[in-house]
Parts: sequence; C-alpha cells; structure tokens
Amino acid sequence: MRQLLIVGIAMLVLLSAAGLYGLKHKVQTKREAVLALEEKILADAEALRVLQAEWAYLSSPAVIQDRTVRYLRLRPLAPDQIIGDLGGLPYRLDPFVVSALPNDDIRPVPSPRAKPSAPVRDALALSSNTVEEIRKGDRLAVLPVSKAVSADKGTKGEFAARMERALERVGGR
Amino acid sequence: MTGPRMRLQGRRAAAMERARQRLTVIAVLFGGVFVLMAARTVELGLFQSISEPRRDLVQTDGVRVSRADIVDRNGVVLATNLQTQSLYADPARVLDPLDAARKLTKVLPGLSEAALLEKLGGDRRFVWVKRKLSPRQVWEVNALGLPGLAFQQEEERVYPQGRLAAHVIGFADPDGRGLAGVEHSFDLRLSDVSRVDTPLRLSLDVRVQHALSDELDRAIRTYKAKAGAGLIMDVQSGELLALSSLPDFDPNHAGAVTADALFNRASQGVYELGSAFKTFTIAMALEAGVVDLTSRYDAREPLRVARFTIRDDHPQKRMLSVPEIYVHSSNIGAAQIAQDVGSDVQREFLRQLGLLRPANLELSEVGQPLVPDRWRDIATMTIAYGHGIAVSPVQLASALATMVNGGYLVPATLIGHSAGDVPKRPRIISNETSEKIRKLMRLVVKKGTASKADVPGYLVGGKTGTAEKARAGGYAEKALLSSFAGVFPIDKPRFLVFVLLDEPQGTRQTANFAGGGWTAAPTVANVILRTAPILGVEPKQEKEDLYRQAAYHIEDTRRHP
Repeated sequence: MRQLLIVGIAMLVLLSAAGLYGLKHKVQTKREAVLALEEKILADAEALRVLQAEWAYLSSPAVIQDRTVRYLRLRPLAPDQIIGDLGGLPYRLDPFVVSALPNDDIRPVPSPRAKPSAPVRDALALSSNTVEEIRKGDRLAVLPVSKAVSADKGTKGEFAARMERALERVGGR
Repeated sequence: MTGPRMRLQGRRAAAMERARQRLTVIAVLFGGVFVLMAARTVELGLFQSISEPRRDLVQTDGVRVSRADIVDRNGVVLATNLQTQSLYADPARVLDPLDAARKLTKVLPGLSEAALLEKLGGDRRFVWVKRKLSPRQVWEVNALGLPGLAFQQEEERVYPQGRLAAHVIGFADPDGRGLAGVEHSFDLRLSDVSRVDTPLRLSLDVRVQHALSDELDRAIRTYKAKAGAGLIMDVQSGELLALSSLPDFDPNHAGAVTADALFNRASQGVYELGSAFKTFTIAMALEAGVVDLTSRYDAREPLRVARFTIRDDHPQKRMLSVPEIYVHSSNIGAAQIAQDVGSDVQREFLRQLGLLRPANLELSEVGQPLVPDRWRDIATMTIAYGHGIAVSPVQLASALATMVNGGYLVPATLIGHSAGDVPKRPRIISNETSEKIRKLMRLVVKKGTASKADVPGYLVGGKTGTAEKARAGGYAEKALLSSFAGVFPIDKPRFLVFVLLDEPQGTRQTANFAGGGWTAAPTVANVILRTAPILGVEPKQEKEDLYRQAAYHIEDTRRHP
C-alpha cells in the first residue's frame, strides 16, 4: 500500500513537472514569436518610410516633367482649352436627326466655331531644350484637323458644305 | 516481514512514534500544497481562455525617428529621416590593414585608400570609415568578410524633392541640426521628441513651386541674367505658395554649397525695386484725398531738385492724369504726387505696410530694408518711384497684396494658418482705394508697360519695375533689376506672382530691351499659364466696363510694342 502511494506520488510529481515545463516552453516560444513579429513590424514600418520618400521623389514635379517631355506628346494647357462653365457647352446633335441623313460618311464631327487661336504668346527666345520645342508647337492637339474642314482658309470645305445642306434638309441647327 | 523484529523500549518508542507522526503531518502538508499547485497548473494550462492580449506585454510603437518630417500644404514630403548604416572600424581588430583598405575602396566610392590605410593602421579603437551607406553598399561590405568592421545605425535627413524649394526647406548637418531655412528656424520644433510624429506643414505647393522655379530658370538662361527671385502669394491670407531664388543648391549635398547659392534673394536680398512703389504713392494719395483719378500733373520736362534730375523712362512729354502716371510709369508724375502728400504721410504709410522693417517671415534669412535715416524732400520724391529705398521681394509682395485684397494687411507666412486661427488684420487702405488700384493695375497690363504679361482669360493686372542698380559713384547704365508683380484674376484677386531678374540682357525678341515689361512680365505670364489650373483659377471673360472709368483718363497714344 505504501509503495503504491510512493509510486503514485512520484508519478504525480513527474507528470506535473513535465506539464509545467511544457507550458513554460510553449510560453517562451510564443514570446519569441511576438518579438520576431515586433521586429518585422518595425522593419516594415521603416520600409514604408523609405517607400514614401521614394514615392515623393518619383512623383516630384521635376521628375514627372522630365518623363512627360521624353515619353508623352502632351503639351502645356492653354486657357481656351479649359471649360470653366459647363452651361455654355452646345447641345449634342439629335441622334434621330443624324441617322436620317442621306450619306453614310457624314458624321457629326464637332467643327470649331472659331478659328483656332494662335498659341499663347511666348516672347522668350527658345533654346534647344525639349520642353521649349514642345511649347513652340500648336496647342490644339485635340483633334486632327482633316483637310476637308479648312476653317482657317476662310472658304468652306466640301465636307462642311454637305453637312450644312443635310442639316438644312432635316431642319436642325 | 521475516525475522525477529526489534521491539523498542517504551520511551524511545514513544519518541519515534511522535517523530513519525510529525513527518506524516509535514508530508501531508507538502503533498497538499503540491497537489494544489499541480491542480492550478492544469487549470491554467487547459481551462483558461484568453480573451484579450495584454497590451503591456507588447511594444510596437512603430519607427522612432529623432526629427519630424516637413511636408507641403498637400502632404508631399519635403524632408524626412531614414535609417542608414554607418561603417566604423576597430583598428586593433583589423588583421590586414592594407588588404582591408584596398577592398573597401573598391566597394565604397569616394574613399581615399591612403587615408583609410592610415586610419586602419593607427591605434585608436574607433574610426569612422564611411557614414550613411546605402543598403547595397552594406551588403557588399558584409560580403567582403573583413574582421574589425561593424555598422552603426544612423538617421539620414533626405530631401526627396531635390533642389526644389531648397532655400525654404534649408538643410541639416549630419548630426541632425538645422543649418538654414525652415530646418534652422524650426529646429526646436522638429527635434522635439513629443511632436516628432506630426510633420511640419508648410504653405508651399510643390507643383506651383516647380512651375515658378522652372520658368525663372528659363528666363535667367534666356536673358543671361546673373540671378533671379520669384514668389507666389495668396493675397487673401498671405500664405506663400512658392518662393524661389536662383541660383540654388541641392540640400542632399549641401556640403560644398557656395555662399552665393545659399543666399535667399527673395527674402534676404534687399533691392531698389523701382516703379512698383508707384502703387503705394498713388494709393496713399488717393487714400489721403490729395488726388483722385482725374488729377493731372505736368510731366513735360524732367524735374530738377537740388543737384538731382528726375527723368521718365518712357517720356510722354505732356500733362498726365494719375492713371496715366501709373500706366506709363512716370517718375516725374510720381515724385510730384509724393510732394503733394508729404514726407510724414509717406513714411507712416510705408511703415504701416511693413516696408521699413524686416519681413515677419518664419525664416532666419530675412533682410533688413535700407531706408534713408533722414527723410528729406529728395528722398520723398525718389522713394515715390522706388529709388532711395531697398526692400526685399517678400516685403513688396505683402505690401502689394495689401493694396489689392481690399486694403487689409497680410504679412507673408510660410506656415499658413489653420482654419480657425485667423490673425487680426489691420486695415491700411479703404475698399474703394483698393478697387481703384486694381483697375489701374489691369490697365498697366492692357495698355501700359506690361502688355506682355497678359494671359487671355485670367485677367492679369500688375506693375513693372525697372531699376538701375546703384553702383559706386552713381547708377550703372546697363545693369538693371527688372521685376514684375502680377495679380490675377484682378476683379477678385486671389494670387500674386512676383518675378525679379538681376541684370537681364535684351535679346532679339525683346528688341534689346531688358526692362521689367520685356523680361519679367512674360515670365510671369508663363508662370500664370502653368499654375492657374493647379491653383483652381478658371479662365473667364473680362467685363470691359469695369475699367472704363479709369481708362477714360488714359490717352491712347501708346505705340504698339
């Protein structure tokens, strides 16, 4: 009986010791994992700051201007290209009117109402810098002006004349 | 149990029995406590559920830097601290200094092998090899596998925008102390540990700043000027959206910067700015009731005062009305107006505008204006057209903004006020006078010396200034300070653009003229063209009748440039 008791107590001691150390080991592992995560968070936060600085550099106006000039055909904006008052826009042509037009190759292309204005006066002498070359060019790079619509010649092109006649027939304008 | 058992005598048996009982008690006690602890351990291990992680055990504050960021009004980063590694060596641990020096100079550019060899061969225990390495360089140094080297983490101040707004931002030394610009004047705030996480927000807008710097640089190259300065200010609040001074420097490599590049010509340089001062002369005369828009003055002949002669740059040789004096920039007329107003009123007016003391700007590089100590008659007359007094462009911009924004003082600021914190603004001139000045400014651009500043749709108004630079013993003939201050849109002014060119030269396009209307005005036009969409100014039609009242008093005798 006594031996059984001793054996029992010994077993209890061993089991609880094992359990205790197991628990301690688990806690230690978790703590190490937490520390590792903290370090990773710190490293990521620092990486974020570096990336923000890099983003600030890559989106800085000087870099963007340099790349625009080299890879894009965009030109500086002129005031007459900015529509400030949306209420002043003309209405679209009625699609029913358009589909009743006789000829297939007449499509309503918004023709300029006024002569394309000259580029905003650029009084400076221009060197061979690329940006300045682009500034020299015309500003209305929005629509390719077809040969038929020769508004600047003063005479109506054939296309415009046909368009006007068709619209007269249908009664719109 | 075999064999004879020893039977203990009475007293010892009793003692043994007592001892045995005590041991049993102790054993039971220990056993009980042990069982209790075992049970508790089991309970903790198996039955406890974790509801919320304990915050005090985990420390994730994020990155701790020692200096706050600087950002622009839209949050674009202008200056920030990044972690870098700095390489140092312990010469006592370096086994082969020659080999180490050779390998290191191969991997790290900019190191001299001889100097490094001397350092590594010496007997100090700590020498810097190179500070602030890039991650790639760190990797390569590690790959060398040399003993005696180690890294220390340091913070480097990085300026992602490069040269942009260099004079405003300034720069800091390698130990993180600000040496120029905002870095210097806000050094305490930036290194304050409790506010390190909040970036310092400036009123600058990098897009607008770049447009101004770019155009100023182009103008300097086109007109072969020595230097230039420019600024863009919000006339309603005084916030500086752009401040540029050329030549400038790169704050990332501020070690070898020259004093000329460091000099902030927009805030620290003081210049005789010339005809822009006629704005103040006419404003104070209108405000004092001494003249109105119909008054006329004799500008047929140059004025002779003591040993000085006051001449016009574009002599009209006739009687001029007040609007004509402004539009044709007549020195003779302006001097006479100032005489009628009087020295005391003039001095008090300029003092109220802040032109007689340094600008109240948040930089330490602010210039002291040059003012005559005795304000005699001749001083009154020359100051009327901007000679005999030297102010900085920032002061002039503040004063002109006051003229056009309805008449209340707006000191220039780089920090900008938060929405609720609007400072008290004293009124300097009345609303009516301000409106008249605005009309006159528009006429200068439409009919006067600044016709090249006109940008269709943006209603630009302003005043040119062409001042001969004072040299020893008088005024130099050809050295000019050409400037133009443009305000747009002039009916409800929002922004003022000022450009100053130091000694520009005429070109074929400008018919060899180098004055403000030929050089600075087209620069301002280009700046307005580029920045108006960014600043949110819409192009609109001009209402012609706004200026008719003032325009009637201007004879259209100008020759088209």
